[in-house]
Amino acid sequence: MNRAYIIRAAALLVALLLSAGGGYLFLRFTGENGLTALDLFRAGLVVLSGFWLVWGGAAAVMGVFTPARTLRFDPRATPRGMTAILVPIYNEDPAQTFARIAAMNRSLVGLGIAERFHVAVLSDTQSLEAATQEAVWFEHLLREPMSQGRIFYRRRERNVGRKAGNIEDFVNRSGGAYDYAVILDADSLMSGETIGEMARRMDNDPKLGLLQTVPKVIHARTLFGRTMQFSASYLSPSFARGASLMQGWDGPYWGHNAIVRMKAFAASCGLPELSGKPPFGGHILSHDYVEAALLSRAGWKVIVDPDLEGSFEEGPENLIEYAKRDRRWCQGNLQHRRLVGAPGLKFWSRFTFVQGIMAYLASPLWLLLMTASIFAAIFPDQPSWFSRFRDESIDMWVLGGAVAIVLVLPKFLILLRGAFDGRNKRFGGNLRAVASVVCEIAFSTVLAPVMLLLQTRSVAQVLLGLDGGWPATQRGQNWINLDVAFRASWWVMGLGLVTLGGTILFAPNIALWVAPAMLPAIFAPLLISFSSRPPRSESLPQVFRTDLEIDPPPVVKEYQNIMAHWTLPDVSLEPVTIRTPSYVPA
Amino acid sequence: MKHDGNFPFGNALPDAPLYMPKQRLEAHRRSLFDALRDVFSVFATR
Repeated sequence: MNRAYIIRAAALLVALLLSAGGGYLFLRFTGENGLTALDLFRAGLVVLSGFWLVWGGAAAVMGVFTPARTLRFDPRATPRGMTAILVPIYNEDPAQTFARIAAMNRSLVGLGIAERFHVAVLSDTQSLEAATQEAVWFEHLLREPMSQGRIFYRRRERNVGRKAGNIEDFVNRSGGAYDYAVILDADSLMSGETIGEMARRMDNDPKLGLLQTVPKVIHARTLFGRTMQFSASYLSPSFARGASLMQGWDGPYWGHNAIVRMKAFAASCGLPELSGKPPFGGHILSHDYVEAALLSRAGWKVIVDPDLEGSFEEGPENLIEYAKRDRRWCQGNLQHRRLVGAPGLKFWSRFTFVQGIMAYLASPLWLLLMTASIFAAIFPDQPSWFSRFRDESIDMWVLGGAVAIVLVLPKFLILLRGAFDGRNKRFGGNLRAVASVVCEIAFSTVLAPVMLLLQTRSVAQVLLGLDGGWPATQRGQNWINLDVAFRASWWVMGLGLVTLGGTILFAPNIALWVAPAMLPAIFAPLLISFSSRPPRSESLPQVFRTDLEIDPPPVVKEYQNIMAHWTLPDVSLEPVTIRTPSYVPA
Repeated sequence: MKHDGNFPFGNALPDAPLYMPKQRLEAHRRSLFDALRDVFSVFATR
């Protein structure tokens, strides 16, 4: 696919040039009296960290200028292939998970295409009490329309290989009965239209091995959750559209809300255990990226389509839950260093592994840059290596401004496009969209130092060989009180106090620059607690409104209705009548 | 679970096994010991 290669090369060139330019500006800023070894070291860090920053920004800018595609088949056309919708669960709330399945099933039944789709709940739940609850709630699911012979449940007593092992177990037992598998997470929700569309695209492109959607976050309530929800709804599609241009047929797989061709997946994606012990050996944690690379290696197309609507998930509602998930992802991504050189992989797959590793190494690199800068300010009399470097010095604000532009420009371009193509109206109008984007930038800036320190700790733990395990996600746990927040982040606060205090004492001339990074760290417990507080009223807040909140899609409404009905004190277990939901187009 | 007589749900997943071969992901690195063993195995088989 020549177009993808050209776009990759162009983005690479832009990222290299701009990051090298950033390094040069940095040298002009620091090298007024000749360049020291510390200056060169810091410039190197600026180039390395800046490259990945620009790389991400370049994808978003490309996405802004790429029109949305509207390739669609008839939503009522029955797909030729049989699809298994796989819902792997692990100590989840069964009521919510099964209500989502019921909503998806009703959506498929309403379209009249349900007979081509089976649902398999693949439980890895280890607690017997939770497993009993799953069996109880599965009874509810069996009263849904057309559930008999179409909706299945099985539980493994030992969760060998975790989620990847769970899926593999299904393929080994029942994979031969299906042409495709839609792989979901416990918190995934997809409309019948989208599921049907994905199966029809598989029917129509025999080389398509995997089709990934870009799920949007729903049902967030806290400030932290709503910021992420807005970002996923408003900003992510542009980032993903730009990235998909570069990826071409070597796209990503994020482990859920995607469809795979069963035979291709079975033949290409059997994951071995890596030699050695965790965190770098043992089971592959971030299996999805590896599976995408293996499908590409076998010659299958792996495509992400950000314009496929009707794909949803729920996200963490507070920073602590986010950090727990991030710790797992960090270990998984760093484990990929073992796979960068795996035989036969495409160059792009190897690059994607490196990109994933750098997403986590970036935090310690930025921290190292800051530490080296404080060190340079405290010890200014370093021996000069290149005393003849006499380019005119630039102001620090120029450098800060350049970084800010790289970070903020893509978001404002997305805003501008939204004003022209009318998308902002779906997010409450231009004014609300502007306010939301500005607040998102402010919130993510304030939270960035805390996230940086948390990620640095995760990287350090993995490099020290500490295995984070596989803690179950605690969905729906919102408010973190100040006591819990303090216990989780006292060390962030301490580091902030020591760093800022030390800078004020020993290098007061740069304290103004260190303060914005360290003040949020000092107030980390307050930030964590405040941003996890649920709203006081049920009305929609003025900022961070999303199109999905203003006008929820039918499958989301259906899920909410089912949950409301199922959680009534004396819910009846009468069979649900087969019906065509009113929202299904005639 | 589906082969368990106590399984409470009438409908079980279809029996249609599909083999998932393990992929090779780690490049096999020959150690010095492997190389020496290969050299001497030539003499050993004579």
